[in-house]
Formats: sequence, structure tokens, C-alpha cells
Amino acid sequence: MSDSPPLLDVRDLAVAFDTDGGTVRAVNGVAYGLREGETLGIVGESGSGKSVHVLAMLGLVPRPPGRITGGQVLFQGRDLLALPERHLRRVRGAEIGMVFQDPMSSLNPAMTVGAQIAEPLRLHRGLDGRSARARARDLLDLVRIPDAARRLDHYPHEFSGGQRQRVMIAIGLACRPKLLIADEATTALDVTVQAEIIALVQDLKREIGMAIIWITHDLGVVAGIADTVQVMYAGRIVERGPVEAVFSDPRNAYTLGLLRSLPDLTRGRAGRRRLRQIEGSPPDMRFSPPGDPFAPRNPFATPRCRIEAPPLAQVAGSVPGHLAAAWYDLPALLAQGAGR
Amino acid sequence: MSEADLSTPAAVAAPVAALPPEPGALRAFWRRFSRRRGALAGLVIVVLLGILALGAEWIAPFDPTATDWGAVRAAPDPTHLFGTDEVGRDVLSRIVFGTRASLGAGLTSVALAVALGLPLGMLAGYAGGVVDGAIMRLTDALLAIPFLILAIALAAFLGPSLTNAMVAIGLSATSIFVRLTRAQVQAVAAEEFVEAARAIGNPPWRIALRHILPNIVPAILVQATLTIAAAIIAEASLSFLGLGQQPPEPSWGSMLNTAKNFLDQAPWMAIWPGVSIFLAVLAFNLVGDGLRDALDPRERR
Amino acid sequence: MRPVKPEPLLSVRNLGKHYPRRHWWGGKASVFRAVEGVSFDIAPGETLGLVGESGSGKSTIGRAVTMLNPPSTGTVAFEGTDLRLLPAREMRRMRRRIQMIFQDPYAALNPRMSAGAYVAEPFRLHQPEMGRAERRDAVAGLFQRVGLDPRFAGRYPHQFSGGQRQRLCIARAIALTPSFIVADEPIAALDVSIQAQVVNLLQDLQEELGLSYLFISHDLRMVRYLCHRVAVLRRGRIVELADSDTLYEDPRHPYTRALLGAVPVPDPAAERARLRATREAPAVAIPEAGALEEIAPGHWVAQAAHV
Repeated sequence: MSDSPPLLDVRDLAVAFDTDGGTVRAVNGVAYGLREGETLGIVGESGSGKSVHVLAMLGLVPRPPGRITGGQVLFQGRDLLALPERHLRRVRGAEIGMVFQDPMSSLNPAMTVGAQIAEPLRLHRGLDGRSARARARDLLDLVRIPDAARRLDHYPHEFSGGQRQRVMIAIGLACRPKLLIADEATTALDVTVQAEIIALVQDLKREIGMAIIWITHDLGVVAGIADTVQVMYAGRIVERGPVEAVFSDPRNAYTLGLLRSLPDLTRGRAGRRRLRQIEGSPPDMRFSPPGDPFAPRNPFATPRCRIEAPPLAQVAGSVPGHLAAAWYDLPALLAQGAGR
Repeated sequence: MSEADLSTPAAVAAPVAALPPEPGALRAFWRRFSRRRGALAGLVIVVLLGILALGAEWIAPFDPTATDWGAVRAAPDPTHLFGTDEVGRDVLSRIVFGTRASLGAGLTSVALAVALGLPLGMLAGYAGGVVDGAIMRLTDALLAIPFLILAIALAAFLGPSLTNAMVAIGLSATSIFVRLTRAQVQAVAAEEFVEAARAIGNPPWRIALRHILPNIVPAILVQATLTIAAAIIAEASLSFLGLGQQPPEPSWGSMLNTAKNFLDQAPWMAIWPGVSIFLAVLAFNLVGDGLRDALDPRERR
Repeated sequence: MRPVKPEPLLSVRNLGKHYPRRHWWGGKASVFRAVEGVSFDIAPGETLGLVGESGSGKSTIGRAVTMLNPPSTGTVAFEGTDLRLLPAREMRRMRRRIQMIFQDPYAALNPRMSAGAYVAEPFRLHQPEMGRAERRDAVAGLFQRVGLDPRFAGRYPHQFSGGQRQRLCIARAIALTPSFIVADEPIAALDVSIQAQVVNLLQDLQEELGLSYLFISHDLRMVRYLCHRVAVLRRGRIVELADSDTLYEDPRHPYTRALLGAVPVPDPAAERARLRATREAPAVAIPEAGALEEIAPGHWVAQAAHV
């Protein structure tokens, strides 16, 4: 970790949902830090807690059924979880921008795009109508929407899917936030459009210098844009570290499984092998047995994995900041030929 | 462990075995329903009313039509707990027997409305085209007339009797179910599992009965429960106007009609049927709302 | 390349799907051509991949060749029979041979039908003479074949995970041992850790049952892995069609190149290099697709349309 105090410091965050079938521990002691200007890629599948923990720290988890059962989220030194909703609202949108998966349902269909971009500026920055509009036009320019001045008066349905996501990014960036959180922001988009959005975000990062949390299930996207990658499973961080280290030297079996299950785009049909699948299904979070939640699906699991959940700890023999939760020594097991 | 191993049934079946035990669908439904106190209270009242209606002979202390000229308009006392009416009949016994007319009319008329409305609505929603157009124009025309006005007009046309009142109420409520069923069928028919049903070669009638019908039953059930409440009011209104239950047989509505002439002298004659109607209507509405919440699939996922 | 060209199982010629577009005041009607002039063959045991972006007409083609949403023009010949000319009853009988797997296993299962009844439905429809016990055994066998425990036949869809639901859909699709399955984005709604399971299952079934697939997907990595040949679709027309190695190693149409160039690579160094290269590359204008031309045996590329 670097010397500068982190922009965001998540400490032992825990979130639970009360459902008919029992209590779901959706987030279980998640802790990490984010430096100013850092891009963190969070990878995980549905139920991993990757989205929920972010919603929880912004006070966006519906209560009930949701409950924050522990932890602190320090953003520039202030605990977001302790802030009253009134103050939290100021943080959201002004200091932390958000972009969600579905740009259609996140935009109000009955309001012009210009008005929606101007809204946070008027709310948080106190700009009057005219200057908010001018700033909105600059923002549309910034996200590379051609003919911005005219497009301000258009409604969301008059934009394509990729353009709507650009508008969402413009709204997220309106108040020049220190942190932009993108939750599956390109999942619903076509690959070519996804490529454009990623290029845009990278440009903006260079221009504005905000930190980014990019939540996705696509390892390829993370490989390109993240400085740090964090893999989540069953409400926990199972591995985290500089993106090169994690991709080239994974120490958690789930990380390895994800990386291995992807087919290789460059391998021809002649040289291909059967896909290495991860067996089983993600756990039912209402019934979390003791131990490592991935153990039932893990071919490398040791007896200890089934009893006690491993802590997230610095990986011996890797770069500083490369953390993994594993009782087993993955490189050694692989060298012995385990798991093929 | 060879690669081929992984796809053998035993290997992949294991994760399914790890599925937690699931409570039955009925029990899950009951848990959601019973969590709502109002719904539970409504259900208790409905059950009590049902017992009263079925066991009226045994529960009522007096013959509901027996007059007692020695106790005309007697105030409530230990013998006549709810008092007596203008010809000395026991009000409590008439309330108990009146439950039959009210619940009977509510259930029968709604059953009739569903029996007519559901098939018509399914036909309109699933067949579409000219059939849909014809059914829906007729329904729209009927819906343009307020429910109670239509029921009164029909009852007057058919002649005053409890049976005719039920038919009139049922016919008046039919258009509600046609419209609801049609909308539900159209929504369900657009779902992918209906396309999947076509993809394996289901003929249209089987898709309608096996795939669409079970998925619209909850909505119909909720509407039916709420409509029972409306039908109870309608029956009481028709009886109040003399178009429903005929004297001397008791009905809450007709009891109110008589009672309006004696409001000063014998308020109990009006209070008890009024309270009964209020409770029955409230109970069915509470149960209907509870059902709607408990059957809402949005809570499932 | 195969030495002898086998007789195609499915032969699609000049397929089109048009929707009337009319102004609400009833003005001049125009036609929206969702799919136009699409032709391809699928050999027995072959997987043809159909890739393209949303709105390119992929799913429309899948539903047109299965007659769930019949085409407006062209022919769909299955073993020589033009499906468009089959009466409804005959087409329903034909569905034992032609099956479909849908994208969203949450939506494709009837929520009020038990898993066992769902998988048994094809038998009830097409083999009504089958006895109850025999049918139960057949369903149990199918459950095992797709990796589900037969004891869970009595459960309802919401009690299964996404991957398990897709296995149920697959079990139902293979119940009558069809020869052709249209798989419309079968893994798009599944978690990453489940996708490989389903793709492996599809591949095992193909080897076992000699199935042909039309695999509709926007996942270009999976398509390369699974498909023998690939057709790239853009705005309702095929812009390039070739065997998968050729298409991925030697894409000729600018759109195919743009598409392949946009796929993120799960390797930090390579992905960063790709992003950099994309950023520096000049934008290429993509012409509207015209007629297909065979530039090499089996490699078809659309020529620029003359507007």
C-alpha cells in the first residue's frame, strides 16, 4: 500500500438481508482501501456481494430487508455509514459518482437529458439554470456526444444504448467526483460500444484524475482498465492485488478457476481442449456452512478449508499488496500436477 | 480425476443434492400471508361468518321468522341479545341467518362472474383479432355502466328474488373478470416459457390450459375475493331496495330497509345489520389484500 | 475443410423477416427489414455460430428457422422439407426433430410447473402412448444426463439456480432426441463460473447424439471455441461466413474486424496493448452489406452495397 491515506477505507463491512427463507449474509467482513486516482476492478458473480457492498456504503440498500450489520466505510476520513441520509445524499452524486448497468431504467424517460445532467449541479453545486445548462453541455462534450448543445433538449429514448451510458457517465461526473463507481456499466452493451465506453473512461481518468471502482464479471475488461483487481465470492474478498500479479499468479482456486474457464480467443479448433469448468453452483447464502464457501467446488480444498474460513493475507513470494484467502498453496499444488 | 469424470451424472449431481430443504409452496405462502395481521384478522372473520352461515340452524337462538307480539322492538336483553324487530323477531337470529344470504350471494355471484369472465377473457386474450374485438367492445359497454346501477337494473328486469339478485350481481361483475383475465393472459403469453411451450409442439389449447391458466389464477383469486366484498354490498343494496331477499326471509340489506323507519325508537335494528355488512366487507377486503401481497411473485426472488 | 460435402441438415435460402412500419395517422406504410437475404447451410453434427450485436437480427433468425416467428420470405428446408409450407399440425410434429434453448432460463421455465413435469412434457405431447412409469424413468434418465439429481423432479423452478434451470431446459430439448437445436444466447444469462459447464454439456450432447446446433451468441470467445463455422450478422444481413478458424484468423470484412478487435482479453499486458492499438487505429467506415462473394472455398464476404 502507498503512504498517502486512502481515499476510501472500507473496514469489515457486513450486510445481511432478512428473507422468508432465513438471513442472507450478503457481505461478510469486506475490507480494503482505495487510493486517490486508483482504478479498482471488482470481479465476481451474482451473489458475490460485489454490487451489494457498494450500495451499502452509499446507503442505497433497501432497509428492510437489508441491514448493515457491521463495519465502517471511511471516505476522505468520514464514516459514510454514520452519516445521516441528508449528508449522504450530498456525498452521492457530488463526491461519489455512480453509473449502473441499465442506462434506460436509470434515466428518467420524461425528462430531457440536459435537465438530468444539470440536476446534480443545481442540487449540490447550487448553480442557476443557465450555468448548469452550460456545464451540462460541456459534460456531453466531455463524454463525446456530438452536437451537444442540441442534444441537451433530447429525451433518453432518442439516444442509442451506448450514448445513454455516456449520458449516465456525464451525470456521474457532473460534480467532478473524487470517485466514480461503475456497476456492470458495459454489461448490457455490445462489444464495440463497450470498447468505446472503456476508452472514454480511460481518457476521462487521465483528464480528471478520479479514482474508479469498476464492478464487472468480465475478467477481460478488468485486465485492461484496472490497477488493482479484487475477486469476490460469497460475500468475501478471496483475492486482491495488482492486476498483473493476480492474473499471472493467482493464489485462490476460484480466481484460477475463473481464469481457466475462459476459452482462448487465439486458439484454433484443432489445438483446443475441453473447457475447464468450475463444478457446482454458487452457494445458497441462506445456508452458509462453516469454512471456505468455495470449498465444496474446489478441487484443491484441504480438510481445513471445510472447517475454517481462511483469512485474506499477503501472499508469500508475490508482490506486496497481493492478498489471497487460501489454506492451500496453489502454485505448489499446480506444480505437483493437481487439478491438471 | 479425468476430464470425462466431470460430466458424469454423479459428479455433477452433487451440487444439487446440496440444495437446502425448501418448505412447500403452500407453507411459504401461508407464512407470507399470516405475517400480515390485517389479513389474518380478515380470514378469522370470514371463517366465523362461514360457520354462522353453515350452522345457522344450530347457532341462532330463535327461529328467524317467528314473530313474538309480546316483544316488539324490544331493546337488547339477556333473552334477545341484539333485541327484536318491529314484529318481535329476534334480531340476532335474523343476523345469523342473514349471513347465508350475504355470503351465499357474494360467493355465488362471484363464482358466476368468474365462470363466465375467465373463459371469455382467455378467449379474447389468446385468440385476439375479431374475437377479441367483439368480446372487448361488449365488455367496455358493460363497464361503462356503474356496477351497482347495472346490478339494480338487471335485478329489476329479472324480478325480485335472492336468486335473481345473485344472477344480476354475477352478470354485472363478469366484465371485471373478462378484462382482468384478458390483460393477464396477454402478459403471460408474452413470456418466454410460452414460446418454449410452442417450441416443443404444444397445441394452442394446451398452452392456454397448461401454461397460461395456472399463472393467472393468483390474480383472479385476489380479484374474486375483493369482488365478493363488493357483491355483499350489492346484495345488501338490492335487498334494501326490495329486489333481493324477499320477506320474511332475513337479509342484512332488507333488515336495514325496515330498520330505517324505526331509527329513533329501535336503533339496534339498524346497528347490527350495519355492523355485519361492514365487518363482512372489511374482512373480504383484508383477505384480498393479504392474498395479493402473499401471491406477489416479486417477493419470490 | 471436409473432403466430401455432406448433405445439409438445414438449408436456409434468402431468408427475410419484414415488419410493416406505419405512421399512426395511417399514412404511407413502409417496411422494416429486420432480416434480409440470409442464406446458410448446417450439416449433420455441425455447429454454426451466429454472431452480431443487439438488433442485428440474430434472434429473429433463430425464431424464423424454428417457425416460432415464421419468416416473411425465403425457404427453410429441413432434411429437404420446406418448413414454411408445413401446416400447423405437421409443424408441431416436426418439433420433435427441431428444438430450441432460450437465453433466460428464468423466463423459459413455467413457474407453476414442476421440473419433472416440464421435462416430461415432450413425451406427453409426442409419445402419449408412453406409460406413467416409463415416462418417469425417461425423465430420471434425462435429469442424470444433464447432471441433475432425479430426486428433484418434484421441485419448482424457483428452487433451482440459473445453471440448473438451463440444464432443465436442455433436458427438455433433448428429450425426443432431436437432430437440430437452436440455442439462442444459452449462456448469456449465466454466471461466468457456470458458462463453461453448460458449453461442455452442449458439446458432450452433440458428440453423443450427433446434434446440429445453431448457436446464437454475442460471446465471441465462446463462439470460436464451440462453433465449426461462424456467420457474422450486421443489420439483418450476413457480412461474413467462414469456418471458425478462418474467420478469427483472417477476417476480411471491416465489421468482422471491428467486432473481433473489440473483444477484451483476460491478460493485462495484452489487453492494454489492444486498448492502445484500438485507440490509435483510425476509425474505419463500414459499408452496408451487399451480395456475398466466395473469396476462398467456404469463405464468404459481403461486398459493399451500391446505394
